[in-house]
Amino acid sequence: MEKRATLNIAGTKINPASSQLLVSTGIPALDEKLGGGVPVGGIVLIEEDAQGSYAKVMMKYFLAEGIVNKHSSYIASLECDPQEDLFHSLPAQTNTDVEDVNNPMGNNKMSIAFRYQHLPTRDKQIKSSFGHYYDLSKCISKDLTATADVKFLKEVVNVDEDPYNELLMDIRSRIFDGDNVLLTGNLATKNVLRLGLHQLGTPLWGGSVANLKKFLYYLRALLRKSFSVAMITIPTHLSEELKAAFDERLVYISDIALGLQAFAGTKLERNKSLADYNGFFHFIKIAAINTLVSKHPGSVEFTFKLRKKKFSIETLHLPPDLGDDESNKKEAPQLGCGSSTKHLLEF
Amino acid sequence: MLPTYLKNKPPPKCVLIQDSVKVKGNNFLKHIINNHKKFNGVVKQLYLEFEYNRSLNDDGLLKNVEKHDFIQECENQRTADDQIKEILSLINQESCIVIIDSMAHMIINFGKDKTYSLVHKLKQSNKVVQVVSILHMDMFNENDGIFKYFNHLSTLSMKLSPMFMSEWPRVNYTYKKVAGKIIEENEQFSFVNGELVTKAIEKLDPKTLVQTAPAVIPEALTTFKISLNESDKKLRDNFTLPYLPKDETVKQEGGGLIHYEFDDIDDWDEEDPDDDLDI
Repeated sequence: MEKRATLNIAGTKINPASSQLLVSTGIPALDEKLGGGVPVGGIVLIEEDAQGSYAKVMMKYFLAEGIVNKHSSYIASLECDPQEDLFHSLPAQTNTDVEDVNNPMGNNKMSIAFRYQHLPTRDKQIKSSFGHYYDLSKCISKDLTATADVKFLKEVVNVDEDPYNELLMDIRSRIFDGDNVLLTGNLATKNVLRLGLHQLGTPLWGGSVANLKKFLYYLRALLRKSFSVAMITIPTHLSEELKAAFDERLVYISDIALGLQAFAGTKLERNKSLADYNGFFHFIKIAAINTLVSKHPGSVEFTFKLRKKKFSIETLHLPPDLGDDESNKKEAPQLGCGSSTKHLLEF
Repeated sequence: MLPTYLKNKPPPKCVLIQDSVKVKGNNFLKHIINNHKKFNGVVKQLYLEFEYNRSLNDDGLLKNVEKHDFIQECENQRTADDQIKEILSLINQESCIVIIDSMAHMIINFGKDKTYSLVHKLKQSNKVVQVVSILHMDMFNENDGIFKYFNHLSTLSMKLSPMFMSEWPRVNYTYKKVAGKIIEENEQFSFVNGELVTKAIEKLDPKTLVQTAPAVIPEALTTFKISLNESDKKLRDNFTLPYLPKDETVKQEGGGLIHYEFDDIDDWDEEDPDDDLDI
């Protein structure tokens, strides 16, 4: 415990229940559902939506949170340019939540359900001093990116052999270069290393799923030795093999596994009751470190939506059925004691 | 809406035309090349030719073109890596559009991972204005995962299917906008004087469909006589079915009588164990 007392890294906090060091994902609402944040030394897996765009937004939040807290970063992607498409387009920090959701319902005065007048129309967001808020419409300031300690992996040399091996060696050298992210050494100089690994498992990574599993095992061992935390997105829709591997093995290797299921391009897109949302958000696995059970996120079904400035995760609330569909109205069964037709038992 | 998306500026970076023997995608290819000629002037073309495409060669659409002839390469027996290197070296000079005809042959030659990686590199390159490729769907199985790979890579993917209850064939396309929005539509298309024309698929009203449907003539469906003519009908009307009440007034003549003739050696049993034969 004495060691912990001297450890003071910006953007981290200790979960008092499990005495586990946590970092923020950059989305305070998500941190709260995960039990405070992401445990340091852990792997967060994200099962990508069909187009990968929402997973990329989550990755940006995660990396932006690191840059703002002056954490070290490592970004790898073969599908896009990690420097241009990820690092330089990170969202800018704002002091307050960009869409303040705690506003009660405008000026519409309720005459019957007046007790609900002052309730917020959406989920109450947790005010957190831990994570920061970001504005997706603005890019991170150049001063921050210029001073950031960040390294990239844009391409691998030997695609025919095992590209994951090259990535692993690169990460290994990043961790062991100096001792500021290792668990041993002077705790006062420690920092967190955030790894953002974008779209692993695509054909550009050699297409071998076995290699990906091996890589994740090694990576987990490496992360446990250091103050590092990794966020990995995997486009499982690309092949059946990758999807099977994700469900069978990769989720078990990870500490936190999240799934994004976008409505775009599917039948759910035209579903009126889901029109407010962009997709389902699945909590596939939540870490239970130093505890017997993981935290329950609070509900069963979650959705996400991406607005101009903000990506938010909310509990799925179906809108009231106002019966604007004529056919539904006619077929609705008559309930209760009275009936529309004359009946002997009417009272 | 599809012609508008094809004319968008900047043009969709990676266009994938999935065709089959029934509906060929050649006209789409020509239309896209023509668009470049009309709106962007003559752009350098890098034409990766895996099969000889007569219509494209004869129409004189290929101008300012750098051809990479894979039919020739097959004879030279160069490795896939060498060929990929050469293709990548060709795009480094001036901006160009890359035409892959067809990607199916490329996948068979190079393997799907190498093809994916090559198309991805072409797509990422600043020098490449657009990558247009034709993928013959007949040549692969749905389970190969090839369509998923290349749909993931493409920004505008079109799937052509033959006409169905309409005069024009259909196209199902997915367009990924730069901002992240995805548009998926089904339209029917035709080429009028080389120009692409599309219109929405009209949903037929089931009521009118039933009214306009040709009446089914049962006689035409059978090999035997199923209907009745006038004399048949008369006979039917006059026939009294056995279970109907009979007219009691009709006098019954005679009655049934069994004349039993003995055989030469008849097996006559004189016993009547049941006492019912009246012997």
